[in-house]
Amino acid sequence: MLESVKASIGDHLLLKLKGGLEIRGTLMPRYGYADDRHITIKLGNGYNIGILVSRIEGVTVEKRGTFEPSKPSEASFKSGGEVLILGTGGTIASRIDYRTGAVTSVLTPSELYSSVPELGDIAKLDTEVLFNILSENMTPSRWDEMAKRVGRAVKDGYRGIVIAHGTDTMHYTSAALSFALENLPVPVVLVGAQRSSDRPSSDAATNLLGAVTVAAMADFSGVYIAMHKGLSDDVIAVHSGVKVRKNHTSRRDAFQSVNSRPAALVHLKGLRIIKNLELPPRRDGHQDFSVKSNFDERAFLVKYFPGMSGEIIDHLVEIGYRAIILEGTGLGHVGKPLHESIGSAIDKGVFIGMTSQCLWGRVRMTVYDTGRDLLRMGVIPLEDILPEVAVVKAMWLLGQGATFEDMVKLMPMNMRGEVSGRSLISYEHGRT
Amino acid sequence: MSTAGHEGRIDYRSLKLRVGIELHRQLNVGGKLFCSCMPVREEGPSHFTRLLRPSESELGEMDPAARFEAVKGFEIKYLYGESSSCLVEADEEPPHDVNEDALKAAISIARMLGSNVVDEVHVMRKMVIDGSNTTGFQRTMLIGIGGQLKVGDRTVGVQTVTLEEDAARIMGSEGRVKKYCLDRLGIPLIEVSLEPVEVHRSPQEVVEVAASLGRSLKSTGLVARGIGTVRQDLNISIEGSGIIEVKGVQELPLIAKIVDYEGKRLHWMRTVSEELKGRGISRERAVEGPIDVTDVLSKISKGFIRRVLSSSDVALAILARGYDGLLGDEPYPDVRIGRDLATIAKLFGLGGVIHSDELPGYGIEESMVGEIRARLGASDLDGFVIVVGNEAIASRTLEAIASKLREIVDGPPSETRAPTSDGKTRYLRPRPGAARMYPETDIPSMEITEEMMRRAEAIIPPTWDEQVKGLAGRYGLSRKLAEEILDSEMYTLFEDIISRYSVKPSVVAATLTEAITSIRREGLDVGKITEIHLKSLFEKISSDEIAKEAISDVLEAIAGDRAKTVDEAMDVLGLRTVSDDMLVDIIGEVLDANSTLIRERGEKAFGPLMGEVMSKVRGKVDGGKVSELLREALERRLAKT
Repeated sequence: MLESVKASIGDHLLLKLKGGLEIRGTLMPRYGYADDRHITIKLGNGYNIGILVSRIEGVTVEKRGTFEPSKPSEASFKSGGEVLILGTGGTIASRIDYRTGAVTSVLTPSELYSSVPELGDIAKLDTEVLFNILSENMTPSRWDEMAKRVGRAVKDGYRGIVIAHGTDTMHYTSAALSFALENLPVPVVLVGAQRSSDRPSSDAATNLLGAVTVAAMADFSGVYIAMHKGLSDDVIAVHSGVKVRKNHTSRRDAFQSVNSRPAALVHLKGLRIIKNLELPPRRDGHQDFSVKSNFDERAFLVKYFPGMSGEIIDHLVEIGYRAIILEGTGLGHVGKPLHESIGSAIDKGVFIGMTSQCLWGRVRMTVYDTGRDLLRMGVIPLEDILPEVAVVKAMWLLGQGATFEDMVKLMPMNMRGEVSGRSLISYEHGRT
Repeated sequence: MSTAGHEGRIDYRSLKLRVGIELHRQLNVGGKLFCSCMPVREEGPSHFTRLLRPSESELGEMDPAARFEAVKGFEIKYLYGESSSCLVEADEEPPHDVNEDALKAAISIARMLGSNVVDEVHVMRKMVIDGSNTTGFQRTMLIGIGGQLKVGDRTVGVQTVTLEEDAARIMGSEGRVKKYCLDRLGIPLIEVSLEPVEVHRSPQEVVEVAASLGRSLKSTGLVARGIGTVRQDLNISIEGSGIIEVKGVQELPLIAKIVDYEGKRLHWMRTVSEELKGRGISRERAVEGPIDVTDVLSKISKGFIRRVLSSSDVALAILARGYDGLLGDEPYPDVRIGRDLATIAKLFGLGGVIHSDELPGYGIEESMVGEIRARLGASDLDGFVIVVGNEAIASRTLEAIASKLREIVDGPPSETRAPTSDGKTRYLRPRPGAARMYPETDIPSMEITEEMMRRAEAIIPPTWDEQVKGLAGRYGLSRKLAEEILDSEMYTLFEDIISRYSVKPSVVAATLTEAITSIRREGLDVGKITEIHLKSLFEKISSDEIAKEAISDVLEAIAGDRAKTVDEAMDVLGLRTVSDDMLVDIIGEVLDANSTLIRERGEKAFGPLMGEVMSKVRGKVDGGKVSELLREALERRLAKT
């Protein structure tokens, strides 16, 4: 019927329904997964409603309209700035998608800049869309791409780089960039949002303010994640890229430093940066800076659970994996049924490292017999490295051509701050 | 002023005064609309603070109301407790599925009003960034379109029936920090919007429509009762005006006053607009500036302007072209453009405005007025407006004032206003448009199936009349009393009290309706009488600590601020009850003192004796008991002689 009057999205329609009811409104797109027995109409009062197609007896197009859910905007915005904002997608740059009815990434960094004009008061900004994906679709080859783009930006003389990123895997990316950017002379700050930018309560603006402040003004260098410290829009926590984890599905303070304090805090009132840790200083020259962004994807993260069999290990070895990071229980244990498979994997030259699913704390495999058995087989305890960071580090080392012996030596060794020598009493574990 | 009659009376009919009512009522379905929190009152103990920014609607437009709130630049502090709030209220977790009982109740109410229920419900976000919603929007869904309500011999059309979440409760503000409590946020609300009714003779007609709609909703038994569970919005217009949305009128009697006030105000605004057009003013030319006049006002030697200007504040002025005499004129009480401009300034956190019609004054002398006029290039027919304050805030305030002055040229502008407790209104923000509606992407659309319709229709209640009859029969109430209590916000409390305490239902009903009304008529503040007071009162009546004759005295003592609790009222009123033993003693004394009377009149002495005993124990002992004990004692006395 809609086709018969050539009604298209955005047209103002007069619908006559069975029973005599007349409805005026704008024809709206249906979400991709919504059924096709209804049409969606936006009424004059702004409400959308669904009407059963079978109830419609007549349609008149009262006025032709157009519908553009989002404006196309330039992919980059250059002004010879001090800070480069790179867009990679995610909630921080997302709004409604009429295909699925859910939020999807579309806002460009320059749109973010125009919706948070205060950013311009902090530094001159350039923006660029590197790609536009949700972070669950992130891959090691994207890490490679990001690292290379950051490398060029550093050489171009930017004071800092901000990367807008989806939050789900942002801590994997921060770890990957931490390893790939060697002797990084400036801050690189990843930033995301837990509430999409299309809502007034979005944390995107405040997180961005914190991130740009660090990129422009911090006296330290390195890779960081800047997100809310708590539920209030007042302090942004700046976490070290290798000591951070998304620990909540939805809260805006989902990111927490694990086995560390946040590296720094940005108080939004007055944009003050307060350092919590010794951090590598910002440096002028970049002679020793290098981008080592090759990742070998043949590393796997296995979370142990009671009842797990060793077959999965056997299979991973069979299909060519070269490093397996175990997320064991407690101080670093996995059950006996796995031991044989682990032993044979190591014999075949596959690196096996142990982290803990406790997340907080350090593995120590000499305390119980199981740990000692695993140590004897050649499982390498990875100190207080987070499991996600360990698997990224393994991919990176393999990508840099590390042999089995290199892996055994380098995996437990601190390279970018991922291993802490001391576990401080004051490190929090979780919330109450 | 052709429509103005004598002495500030207006002819509503010739103004074409129209009023649309939107009634909001909390649904009593247990739980909130999008999570499992309890709808209980709870302040604190914890808090967090937020900032809100406007965002674009899916059509790419920014809502004017949202923009206005955003430029005011407030910080918002939210108080929360654990029973009434979870991460959903805090905007820290996506909303859960829509509360099915609330949806069913909304469908049922829509059907009762003869509304067409939509085939598929879409949850929308209505942008509201005054801080009353942590998200910056209110979730709302349209359930029904059309329908009608019978009010006497008038039929009023129903526009829409919507189901929405209630907003957070405002607790006041400290400086530039607004405080809200999350306990009310997310409680399901039913909103019924009626077609505008034309006021013919009296605004009382609007009150009757609102009361009738209220009764229909209450008759369903699905809505919550009590203070704060009901709010009316009024959409008021006259011929040639925009629509004025007066938000959140809680009491019915106030509606008539507000309608009358708005009728007058709109009439004046229309007169101003005609006058401006007569002076050749167009919307585009209506305002010039702002310019900085700090140096001019710095010449003032004393007063508040001197004090604020000695800090880092500035004075900015705009030209209000054609407005000379129109800013300060007050044709009806409190109907004055200057009053609205001052309200806008206060909304931005400033003290108010200074306009040309009130000058010279505030220490600003004629020569300074001349200098400001000269700088603004003002002619004799022009006015000007000055604000004093922080430069950024002052200039944003003047932008808002300028756009108001421009709008007025084209007729009384649409706006959102708040009711005042004396039945007037004050400016709140521009009226939001359809641009503030945005789909709630966290919740998929819901098909209303035939099964859901059937279940919702099964809970459509008996008619009002049937309910009144049933109630009267069940509790032995007169029809009038049954109707009054069923219509009352206290109905839930009534049921609660008679289920808990052994008191006569008619006594409880009469107390909650007639007694409280008559205390209000005496001019006492019945708002001081809480549910706790009433429950404690009936508990004491049921345990014979207070006699029912003392009910009005106790409530008056509380309403009149002479007592804070029922116990205090008993002390103040000397109502500590007399025990049976004491009563027997008192009766004995009275009989002794009246031995002659008893001798002369025998049993007929009962009347005067009863009167004398009651004068000593009124309110402390039930009259029935006095009568019983006195009769026994008198009989014994007579038997002896």
